[in-house]
Amino acid sequence: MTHVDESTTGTTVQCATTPPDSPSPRKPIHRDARAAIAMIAPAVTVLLLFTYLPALLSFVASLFDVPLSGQGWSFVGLDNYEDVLGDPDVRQAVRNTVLYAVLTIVPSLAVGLGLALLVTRLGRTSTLVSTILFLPLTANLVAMAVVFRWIFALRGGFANELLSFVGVEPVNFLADERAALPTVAAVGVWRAASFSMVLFMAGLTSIPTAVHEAAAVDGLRGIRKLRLVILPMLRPTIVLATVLTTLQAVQVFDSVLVMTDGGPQGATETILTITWRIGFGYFELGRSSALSFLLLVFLLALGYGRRRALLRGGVS
Amino acid sequence: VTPSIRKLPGRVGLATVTTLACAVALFPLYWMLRTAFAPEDAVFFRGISPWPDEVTLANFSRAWSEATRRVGPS
Repeated sequence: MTHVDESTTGTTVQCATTPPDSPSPRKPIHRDARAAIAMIAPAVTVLLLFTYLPALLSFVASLFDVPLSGQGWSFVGLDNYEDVLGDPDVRQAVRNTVLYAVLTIVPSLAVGLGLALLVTRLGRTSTLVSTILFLPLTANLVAMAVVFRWIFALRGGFANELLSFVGVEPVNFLADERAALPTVAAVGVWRAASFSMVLFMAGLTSIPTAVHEAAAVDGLRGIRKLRLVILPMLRPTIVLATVLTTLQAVQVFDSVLVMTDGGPQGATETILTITWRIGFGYFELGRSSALSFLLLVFLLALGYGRRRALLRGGVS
Repeated sequence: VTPSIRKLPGRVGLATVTTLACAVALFPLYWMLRTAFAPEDAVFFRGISPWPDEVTLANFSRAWSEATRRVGPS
């Protein structure tokens, strides 16, 4: 389809309104749809098989008393949910998980933002420093948990040697009820700060240069610029980082199991470690499924909350 | 006072914080390496030294032989 455009100079120019590479209107749409379905089918199949089907099976199992052999399930309705919600060990695990999340989320976000701002201020060394600061996220958490257990050991651990060097009595970091959870949370911060830093670095680069120039013209520098310009512009990144860090904190498992195994006296037991213990320690698979399904519902609510928070801020 | 001298404290502060942050990030990885090359009885700290008194590769050969014994043919 073409039309003729006459310019003021009198020359006639013929313009094509349909770009040459655009699809022909006669081309059947369902062919594209079929190709799209074929391309997303493997991903959807894997998602259905390894995410949604286990979640569904977990919900079904939570309504039954499941013997270890897997044979002869007996329907118990919501009894498993009543059991786990009334279990004092589960309540302690929930309290510990909330405390772990509080001890992890805010410091890791603050440290992550600080590190991102630090890296953006560096000149030629920024690539090297950001790579070094990214390493905690790439390290295997189980191996790192073993290393941290050595570092925080009562006798011969680096932390206590350092304390004795400055004349402080040794602290039983991993076997003291008051110190164990903050110690495990410190490992969580070490790792999560690295993750937050990457997110904030991406967020900082998305702030237009014109905004920085306008702030400079207005005489905004330092903390005032951070509070009035950078933090409001980083709002979507802050929401994303908060939700992702919360998801990690609520699902903490490896570091707790390796460093303290939920002890001392359940002081570091978290929702996932007690779910694992109920299922594979006490072999009560129905109760374990009920607890994991409750966790899944909480995580879904968190994801929905994040979407609502972003939409409120005008970000889709 | 020249501008470069005026900026010096800020630069020193930035370098200090960067070095500290890198040290905290790297320390557990360094400790893992230190332990990997130390004899088994020297896993725990014996005085402040950056490297174990005795360096050995025995941990690697032991880990390799144990791993292959567990996953390999019986």
